[in-house]
This record gives sequence, structure tokens and C-alpha cells, in this order.
Amino acid sequence: MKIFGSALSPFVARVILACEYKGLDYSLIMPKGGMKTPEFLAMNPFGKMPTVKDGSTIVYESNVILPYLDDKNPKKKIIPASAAAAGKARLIATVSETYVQEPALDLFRQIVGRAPKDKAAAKKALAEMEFGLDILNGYIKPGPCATGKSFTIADCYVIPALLFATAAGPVFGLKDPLKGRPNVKKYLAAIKKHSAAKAHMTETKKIMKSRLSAL
Amino acid sequence: MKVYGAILSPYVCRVLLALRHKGVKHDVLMPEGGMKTPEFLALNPMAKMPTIKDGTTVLPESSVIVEYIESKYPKKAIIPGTAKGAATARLIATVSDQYIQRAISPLLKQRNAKPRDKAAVKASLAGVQHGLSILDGYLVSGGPWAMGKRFTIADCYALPALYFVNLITPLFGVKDPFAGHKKVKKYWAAVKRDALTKQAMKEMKAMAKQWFGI
Repeated sequence: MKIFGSALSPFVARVILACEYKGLDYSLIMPKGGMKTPEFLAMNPFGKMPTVKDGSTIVYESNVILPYLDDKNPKKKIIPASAAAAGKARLIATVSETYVQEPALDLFRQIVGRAPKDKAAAKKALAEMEFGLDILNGYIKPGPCATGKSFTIADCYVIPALLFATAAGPVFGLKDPLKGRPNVKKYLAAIKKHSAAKAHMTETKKIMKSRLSAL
Repeated sequence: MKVYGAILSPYVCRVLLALRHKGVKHDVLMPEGGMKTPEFLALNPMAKMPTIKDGTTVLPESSVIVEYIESKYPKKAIIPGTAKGAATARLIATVSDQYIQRAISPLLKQRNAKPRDKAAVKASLAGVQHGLSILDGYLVSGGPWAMGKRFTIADCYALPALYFVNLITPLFGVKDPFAGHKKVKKYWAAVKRDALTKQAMKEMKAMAKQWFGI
């Protein structure tokens, strides 16, 4: 399977984490000439990452790719079998995406210069991110995984969201974004050691650090 | 099952379409005293609709709820059985959500703005057209539903998104928002004929008049 995109994209990271947990073979590729070439747009009209090519099947949008991987490779499911458990896992995923990652990315765009520096906007995003972390703290288990014992779709979403939140917070004066959120804090300490997440997290943190210090 | 919310919310509409299609018994209610009461915040700390309570299971977020409904009440499935079919249905749902519904929402705010932010309106209308052209590429020819003969999760998302495009864009001078999108146009005509979707749109229309005067 080919995954088009960069491991630094939190959306791509979800797919990588799912593949790592499930033990699927994949190669991570940046499309030649970027994502707006006619060749790439023919695969994905939105010109975005991640885009997955699995045999002749092309799937994009991480929210679509993860359930696809589970349907296609039913071993080591990341979506729990019971409706209630699946609901909980998906809820943690959605909370991470909408209420933690979105404001964290808003902050990140200002840090790397993709958005103009705007103190009022940063303050608002920071408050939203703190709200999101509080909500997440209410739903997440303190480990070893986000829903408890097993690695699920929730972990695929929480990990990149937290990597961005913990990197962006300190730049805007929030020294420890996990302070006062004990479940999230314990979770992050535990998931770092998980075999599906360890390599990805170590590598991503390293790249983030070097990019941030180069600014 | 209890569903908190109102059908005019496109997010609530998705959930109600799934439940009605499957014939799952449910009550729709607005939380007493609004969504910021301690009682409601205990159900949904994000204080949003829809939120459902099904026995002891409480879930917010429409995307989570619709998948839950499918998993808990598998009869009259709304997600195709093959990995590829399911991915296509979910992709149409995502396109409707991310690229049509999201593009139309800023227009609702600009409706009564004085003066209107012309650049924002232009960007929104262009975004809607881009989303519609992508949707047009995915709809199955011959319909009547987005994926063909059967009603799916794709319809739960596409229908409210198109309803809002049809409701809002004419207020900004667009005569026929579906012009140039042949399959979308046919799809829209078909959903207006179907009993389930016709009824939902009738209820949305009445509520839009009451809430927004449009």
C-alpha cells in the first residue's frame, strides 16, 4: 500500500499509526511536484494528504481511510466490535480532532508563518485548545491506551493532536498544556512506550523540534 | 432513544434520517433550559446538538452517532458491506460535510451582515461550487440515492448540505446553485420525491421560516 503524504501531517500520522498497529506493509511517499499536479489531482481532486493507493483502490480523507483499513484488514481491529465501545473510541477521536487539534494547528500556522501573527487570534485558539484538553481529559483513560487496554482508532487521533498541542502551547506561554489534566498526562506517558506509537512519536518529535528551533 | 436537538441543524438531520430510515424508535427533544445547564453539560460537555441517549449510552457528535446507530441497529444498513463501497459512501458523507456544509455555514452569518463581507461571500460561494462539482463526480448515475438503489450514510450527509445550499445561496444572488452539476440536479429532484426525505425537508422548511424568516 502506498501512503502519499508526510509523517509530520497529523492527518497522515493517523494512517501511519493505524498501519503500524495492524502491522500492514506501506510506503510513505511525497508525490513528485507536490499535490496539485494533474497526476495527483486525478487521484485526489482535493490535492491533499493523506491519499492511499491500495491495489487499484484509491482512498482519501483520513476519516474514510481508517475505517477502510479496518474493513479491508480485519485482524487487529482499531474500531471495537460493540456499538457502545466503538462510539466511545470514535468520540475520543472526534474530540481530539475538533477541539484539540484544530486550535493547536491554528497556533502552529502562526508559529511557522503560514498564518499572520495575530495575538487576539492566538489567545482565542489557545483558550479553545485548553477547553478541548479539558474535554479530552474527561473522556480519555490514563492508559495504556485512550479507551483502556486496547489500541484503537482513538489513539490514532489523540497522538498527533497531543504532539501538536504540547509543541504549540509553550510557544504561546502555556508551559505545560497537560498540567491539571491528569488523565491526558498519564496517557501520553504510557502511549509513548506502545509498540505501535513509539517509533512514530520519537521521530515526529525530533523533526518538530528541529523545525521549530530553525525558525 | 432520545435525540436532543432540532432537525434544522444539519448535524441533527443526519441522525434523524438514519433513525427514520431504519425505523428505530426515538424522541426528539430540546433540552430544558438550553444546552448550558449542568444537566445537559453532563451529557455533552461541548454543549451541542445532536446528543443522544440510548439506554445508558450517551453520545455527542453526529459523525459518532450515525456510526453508532449503524452498529447498534444493523437492519436496513446505511454503510455498504464491502470495504470499497463503505469507503465511497463515507467519502461522499465527508465531502458533503467538509466541503459543502462547511463552505455554506459562513453565508448564514453574512445573511444579515451590514455591510456584507464581499470577499468572504465570494469565497464561500466558490467553495460551495467546488464541493458540488466533487460531489457530482461521486454520485452514482441513475440514482435515485447517492450510492444508487439504496439509501446510505452518504444521503444522511448530502441531503441537509444540499438543502442549505438551496436555501441560502439564492439570498446571495445565485439563481440555480445546482446548474452545471447534472447528477446533483437529478439527485435533488429524486430526494424531493421520496417520502422520507420529502418529509424531512418539509419540517426543515417550516423551522427555517420560524427561526430565520427564510
